[in-house]
Amino acid sequence: MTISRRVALKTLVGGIALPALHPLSSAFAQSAPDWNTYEIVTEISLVSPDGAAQAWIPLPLVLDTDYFRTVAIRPEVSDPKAAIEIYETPDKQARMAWVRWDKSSTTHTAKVSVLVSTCNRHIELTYPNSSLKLSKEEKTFWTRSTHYLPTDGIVKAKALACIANLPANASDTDKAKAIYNWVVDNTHRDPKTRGCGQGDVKLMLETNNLGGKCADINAVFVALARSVGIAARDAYGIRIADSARGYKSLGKSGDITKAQHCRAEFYATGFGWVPVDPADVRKVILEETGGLPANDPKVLAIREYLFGNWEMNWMAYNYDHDVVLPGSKLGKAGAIPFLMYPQAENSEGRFDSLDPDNFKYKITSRKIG
Amino acid sequence: MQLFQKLSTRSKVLFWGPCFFILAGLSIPTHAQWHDPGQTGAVSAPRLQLQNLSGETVNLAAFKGKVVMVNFWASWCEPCREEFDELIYLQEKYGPKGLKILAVNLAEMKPRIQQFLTGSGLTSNAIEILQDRNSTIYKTWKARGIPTTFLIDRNGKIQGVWFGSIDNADSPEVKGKIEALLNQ
Repeated sequence: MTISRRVALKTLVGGIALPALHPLSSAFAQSAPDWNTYEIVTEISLVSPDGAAQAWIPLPLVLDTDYFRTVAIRPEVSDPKAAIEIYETPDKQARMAWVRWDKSSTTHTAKVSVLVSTCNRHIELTYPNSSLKLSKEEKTFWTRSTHYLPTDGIVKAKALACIANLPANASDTDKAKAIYNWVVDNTHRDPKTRGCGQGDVKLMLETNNLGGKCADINAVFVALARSVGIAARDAYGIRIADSARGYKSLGKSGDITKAQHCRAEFYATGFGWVPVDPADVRKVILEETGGLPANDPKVLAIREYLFGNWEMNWMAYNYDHDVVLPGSKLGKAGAIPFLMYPQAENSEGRFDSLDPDNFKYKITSRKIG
Repeated sequence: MQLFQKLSTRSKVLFWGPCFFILAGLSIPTHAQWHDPGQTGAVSAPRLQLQNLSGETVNLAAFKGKVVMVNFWASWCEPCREEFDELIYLQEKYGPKGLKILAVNLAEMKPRIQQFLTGSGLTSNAIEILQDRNSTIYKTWKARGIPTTFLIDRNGKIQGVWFGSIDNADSPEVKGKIEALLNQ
């Protein structure tokens, strides 16, 4: 996939927290000893007849965190008549590169290079800091129901069952740990699930089919947590490096076109957002060295680690649900459950975002510092 | 010879036994299960107008007077693939008597569908394949999983829906319901 080096930076939405567009080489100066910097390149080349088309490419988190920083974003298009802009969703939970080709376009290619720095994430759940608490509005937002994550009915009933044996004064962390354990013990990774799954939690519980992939399994954790008043969120992203912890199944470098991965967090008053990833525990059980029993020391170790830790060989895209793509002719009817894959549409309709060979798109990652 | 090959494939599918119901990426071990239309929330067939693989617009309303099966499927869905021979068999057997099967592909692009047809030794006109590129028809019909097949009578009313793979077209649960509508 070759794209002209002509950089066509156009309408950058004003007022957003967009990092400066540094020359790529300057990013090295930002690396600290425990931080790693990666370049992630998403290239799309729509297999499309001539004419108008649009594409939406997920970008890293809107706001930097203490474990993840966006250093630079460089969007490029080869067609001088194409427009590319950085767009944030109205709730500020996701951003994307929005590319538009007009009806005279004959090629539909775009490239977005991002530089991100990450460091491994660990939350010590021992000494609370009273200043770490959510506002009422934040708590309402992060306990809300979404189209696929309702917080009533069967979801709430299941969550209450998960925490039924806890004392009345159990902390958010205690409740989240009980839900985490239930999810790890009762779900399974289904290799036949397409992409990362849909995250239709109600359907999973109603059908008692708890097989799926990360967007299913971690969505179960998030929905159950929210339904009992614990702020929680999915974090949609992509693996960008091999695991340094010795888990081959939990990393990917180089061609990461199919390495999308969703994680989860819950908010513990006094400690802040706590990283978890029950789906990756099930991934290790299914895939690591051809499959491991749940009581294998390697499984037990990752199960313990993934409640309070994330290895940051992964880039976060966003926390958003029910995403309406700007400018889409489908409007709200075309809302997607989450934005973790490139999206596109033309006069024939949406492109299949889970079929990079026919879409076409390619995503690569390399460590640069 | 071609018919023999198709029947052989079909027999193989019947032998496979339990298959899987893919719920937009989820799988449940089950055969096709018949449900009343009330469980889908729709009694009258919702609007359905999509392009076929030749780029022609096909409208469900044009088949009023026929018995119609609207099947939602995708090539990545294993039970959908296994079901395809059953649907073709039904179309060939009951087509002359007034049955029309519309196989609505969920969100895939034409090259992927063609790859499936070629790999399965099927021609693109063995059954009417429609493309729901935007998944909007799928949502309107409230299918919530594939394969799902709606059975519609000659007046455009949904008589019921099969959730899961139709793995035996000759079973009373399948042919009985189709023949009852054709004989009305």
